[in-house]
Amino acid sequence: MDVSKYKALYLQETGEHLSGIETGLLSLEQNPGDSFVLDNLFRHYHSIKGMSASMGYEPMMLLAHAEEDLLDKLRSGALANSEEITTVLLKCLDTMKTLAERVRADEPLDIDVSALLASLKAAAVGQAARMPPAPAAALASGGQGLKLSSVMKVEGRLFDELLATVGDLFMTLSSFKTLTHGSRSVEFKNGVHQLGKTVNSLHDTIIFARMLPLEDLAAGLPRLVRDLAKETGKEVSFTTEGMDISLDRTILEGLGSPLVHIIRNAIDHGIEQTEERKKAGKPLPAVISIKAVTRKDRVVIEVSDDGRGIDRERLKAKAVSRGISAEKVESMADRELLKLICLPGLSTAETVTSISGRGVGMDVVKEAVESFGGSLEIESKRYLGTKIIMEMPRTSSITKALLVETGGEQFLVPISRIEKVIELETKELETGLYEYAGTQIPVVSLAAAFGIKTESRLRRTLIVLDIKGTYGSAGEKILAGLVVDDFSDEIDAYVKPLLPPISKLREASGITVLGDGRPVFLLDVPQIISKTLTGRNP
Amino acid sequence: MEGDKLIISLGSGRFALDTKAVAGIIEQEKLPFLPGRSGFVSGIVSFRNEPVTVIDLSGALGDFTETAGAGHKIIILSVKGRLLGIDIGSSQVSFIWDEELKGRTTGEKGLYTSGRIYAAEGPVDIIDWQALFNETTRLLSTEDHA
Repeated sequence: MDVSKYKALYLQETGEHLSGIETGLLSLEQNPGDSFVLDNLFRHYHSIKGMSASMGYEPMMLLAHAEEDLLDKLRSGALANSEEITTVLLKCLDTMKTLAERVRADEPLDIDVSALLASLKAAAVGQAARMPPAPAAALASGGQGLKLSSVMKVEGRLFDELLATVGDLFMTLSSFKTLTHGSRSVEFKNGVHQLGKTVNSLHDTIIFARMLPLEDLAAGLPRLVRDLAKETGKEVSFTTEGMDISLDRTILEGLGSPLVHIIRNAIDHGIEQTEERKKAGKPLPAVISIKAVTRKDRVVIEVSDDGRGIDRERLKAKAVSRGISAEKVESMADRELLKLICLPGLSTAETVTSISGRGVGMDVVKEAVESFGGSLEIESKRYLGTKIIMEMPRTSSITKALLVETGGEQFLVPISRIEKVIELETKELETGLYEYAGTQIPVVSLAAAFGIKTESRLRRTLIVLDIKGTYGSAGEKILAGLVVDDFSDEIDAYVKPLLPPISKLREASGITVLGDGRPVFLLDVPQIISKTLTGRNP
Repeated sequence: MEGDKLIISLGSGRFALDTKAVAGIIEQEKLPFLPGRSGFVSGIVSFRNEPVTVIDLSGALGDFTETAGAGHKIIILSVKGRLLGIDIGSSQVSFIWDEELKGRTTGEKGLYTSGRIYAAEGPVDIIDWQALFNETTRLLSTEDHA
């Protein structure tokens, strides 16, 4: 496993522990039996031992382990502290600092720590601690000036505030850009251009700082799978793919609960008991897998299980018992039907367990995914398994979008969805289908979908979009067309989340305020097209 | 029910809003479109770079036809980070100060009103803007499958 990417974190954490050890040892000289200080020191050594073992930094791990043993005896009262012991621990501390410096400089950790280990072992069995000579390398680096870590620990909230501030800057910039259209001042236009470059650069830096790999989130999932499998008496293995893909910290955090809900559901209700799988000739252990891939500036995360799949007849019955008309349920397309499991309180589980089955979960999952401008799809094959597909933006806030107009109203369409923008004669779009790249794609009028009145026009704009993620299954692109009156600029929009009372709008995933003060919605195009086509072909 | 009140004359009715909730009043010729708008929800505007959902007060409170005229006068309400715009058309606004309210308010409630002021010029209903906000949220949350 490549651990080099964790080096900065290791150094930052270790630096804090070493600093805590120094403070503790000095405090211990004043109060040799202070149990609070001894407990803290033990924790510091224990943490360094664990982290160093994980990273393969053996001398550091050996020293921390021996020191931990010694501290354990001191805090249990099996050994009395002495000035000699503190001195040995301080010498060890110097060597550990040197080792940490070598890690930072990517130098080999070839410092001989055997004398220090011998002294620590002797002290731990109550023999007078010998004063070990400090390792040569440690001496060489001794007496160096005070240094601060190059890695800073910053509260995530600070980055949230920074990003919000950059968002405000973007909106101010948008106002200035609007002003440049009516200005003859070249200096002013150059200034606004330069300001734009600076704001973009600032934004990129903040976004980069906020990105974390999916691995950070997925690291805790094997344990969750293991514990749930044990609890339910099932045999389950867990695999991941694409966990090196990075997402904005806020989005990654928001994915935590959905992933846990999905895995709980899969183990509790999807995966069969061992005997049932054997009878069905299914392999053991069952497999739950998470696969992530990038698609333009979005990430698609698929959580699959090879369990029994969703029982559609049971789902229909549950939906009817919840008050949805049987006629409507029967007329639903399969993907719409499966999405019913996202209705609050609707679970197809036969029994409620401590893990899941109360119908609390998939509605929360859908809401969480959509709150970040993402979409959720469900695929399921009876007796073969279920796949939950979440498509999310990789970063929040600034979105490249195309400004479009229909019936005098303006909207934003995310660039990441757009395949092509074509101006056509209106009559070419009247059939509801358009031939694009050799296939007939469905065409939806935005004005019709929203009930906006438009004047008759000879020509309109067709935006060909990839609506995969909400409409259609995994694999190739799913194309559809959205008809608008016209389009104008591509802009970097600072997209704000939809807050109450508009937080549940299904047709938009966010909103921005343009430079002239106009609020404009970022359209949830797959949702609009899906809804319209469902109504067109029930 | 204490505190200064902003009074809206809406046709034959008069309504009061707590001035502490009023963040500003803006005028706009046309309201940008709000997808999924229904009932008395009429559109969206921006106020200090924040989007604000706008409702039509005459539609919300019943058959109070405002004075005909172009444009929209929108009162922006803000409490605890929640924003709501109340479109009063071209209706006039005035004020009743706190000291004028003494002994004149009652707890008579309506669907979207939380009390009544018996002012010298006639009764004034106090708008329960939280109730309006909640109803606006409900109107914009209708699920297809519900």
